[in-house]
Amino acid sequence: MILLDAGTTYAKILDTETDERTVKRVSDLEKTFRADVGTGHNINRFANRSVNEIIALANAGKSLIKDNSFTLLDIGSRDAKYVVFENGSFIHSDWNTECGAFTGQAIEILGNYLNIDYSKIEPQKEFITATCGLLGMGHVFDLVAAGVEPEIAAARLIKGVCISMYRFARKPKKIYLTGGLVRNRLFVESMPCETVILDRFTLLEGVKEYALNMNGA
Amino acid sequence: MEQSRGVYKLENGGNENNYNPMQDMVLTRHGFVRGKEQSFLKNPKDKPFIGIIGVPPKEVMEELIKEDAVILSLDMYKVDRLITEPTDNILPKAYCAQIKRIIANILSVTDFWNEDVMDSVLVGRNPISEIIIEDSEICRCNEMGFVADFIENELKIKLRRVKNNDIERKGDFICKSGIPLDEKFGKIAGYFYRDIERKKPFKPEYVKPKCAFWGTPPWGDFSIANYFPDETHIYGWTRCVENLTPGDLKLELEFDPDVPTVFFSQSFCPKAGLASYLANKHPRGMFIDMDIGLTRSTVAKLTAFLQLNKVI
Repeated sequence: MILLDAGTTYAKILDTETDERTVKRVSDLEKTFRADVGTGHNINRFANRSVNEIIALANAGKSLIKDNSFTLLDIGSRDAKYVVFENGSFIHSDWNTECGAFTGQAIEILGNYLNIDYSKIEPQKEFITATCGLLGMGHVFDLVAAGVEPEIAAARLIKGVCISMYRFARKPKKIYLTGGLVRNRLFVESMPCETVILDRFTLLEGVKEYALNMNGA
Repeated sequence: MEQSRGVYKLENGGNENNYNPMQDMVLTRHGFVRGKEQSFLKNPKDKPFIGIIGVPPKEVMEELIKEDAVILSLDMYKVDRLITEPTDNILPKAYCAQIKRIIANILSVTDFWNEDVMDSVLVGRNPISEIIIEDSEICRCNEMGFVADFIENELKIKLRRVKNNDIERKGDFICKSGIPLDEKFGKIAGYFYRDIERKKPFKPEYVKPKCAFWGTPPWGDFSIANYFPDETHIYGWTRCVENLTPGDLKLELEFDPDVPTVFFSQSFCPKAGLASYLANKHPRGMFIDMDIGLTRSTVAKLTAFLQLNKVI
């Protein structure tokens, strides 16, 4: 079975028979490509059946995380979403669907534009508070124009995004992170709480759970 | 601003130094235009046609009934396809769609007086002769003051500002019944009129709730109601309306902590603050907002919440 997480920018593909995992840009997926089941913002273009992204995230959390109580946050290029479980039961979820989003994409664009390597930048204490990634980029350019090093300005934006995400997820003591931004070391180290990193195929575990239940039903 | 033979045309004996460029401009559904006649403001028929915004107090509504007035709720009357155009060069893009809708409703009734856009009940009636606005800030929003000024200053329609201080709660049978959620919204609006017309109150049976909806009616897109089960109780301002106490803040603040609750508000509405605050206080609450219409993302977020709470 071919499972797909078709996000805004990247597609994560899992072949359940070979366990082969691939990542490619959504724009590079062939128009004829069809997964059996999938999730993500672009899924209706590329899969026969789809599962709600928060349901996939919740399923993935229950399957992958041993703790009964946890907060799992998925930060993609377009949006962020989280689920909270306590004693094995669902408690909360949220999804910053439009306004306040585009943080991941903005961070990637900013890095390319300023030609900076996030893995070589130290986390900052000061931070930029911004409603969304695009507004945040404007603040970064203002700081650079005021004489702040581009790396430091970008790191302050990332710190601001981390604090915003931490508050969005209701300030947990420990947070399980997934999504494209977990590959950004600066982002992970800027989070203001204990973090546990799950890989970017996490949502596909949730899709697999859904597919198994679907076939079993 | 109109120029003639090299000098500005001025009214009221003014001079260039205090010229107001807006005084020659008239507002239509296409925005501000120069010097258009406002003939649509005349009311040739004998029956008063009253637009209401918000929930006026009972005494005002009783007076309208006595006068045999035709009453049009400018909150609810829908002109979705027109909503952005009339207000495009008046209001910001990121702004409360409900306020845009109210203004678009007024403009569509007055400027586009034809059978296609009018509610069937009202076809052939007169243009609005008076608007009554309930502008108690606590009932509605701070922007009602702006809407009132706007109606008076730009639309030149007779305006009456009223405050609803009614505190006698009539009950919330519809809010806690098992009829479909979209019908609940409709019947609550109807209940308002039933009460003032002294018809027998509609009191459907109580059902145990599976979930709850808190907030104002989702005027922007009632299809959101289709995602909720019939066993959805209503809280917030809509419940206040059924009680005929729209300014009852104490009642508006109530929720059932034992039932998963969706706290809804119109995007860019000051009530979003209250909705978000209560959603965070509620053990199983979620805040959602909606601008002009329901988006795929909002539907996904809502259905996930209801599924994970085993509501649907």
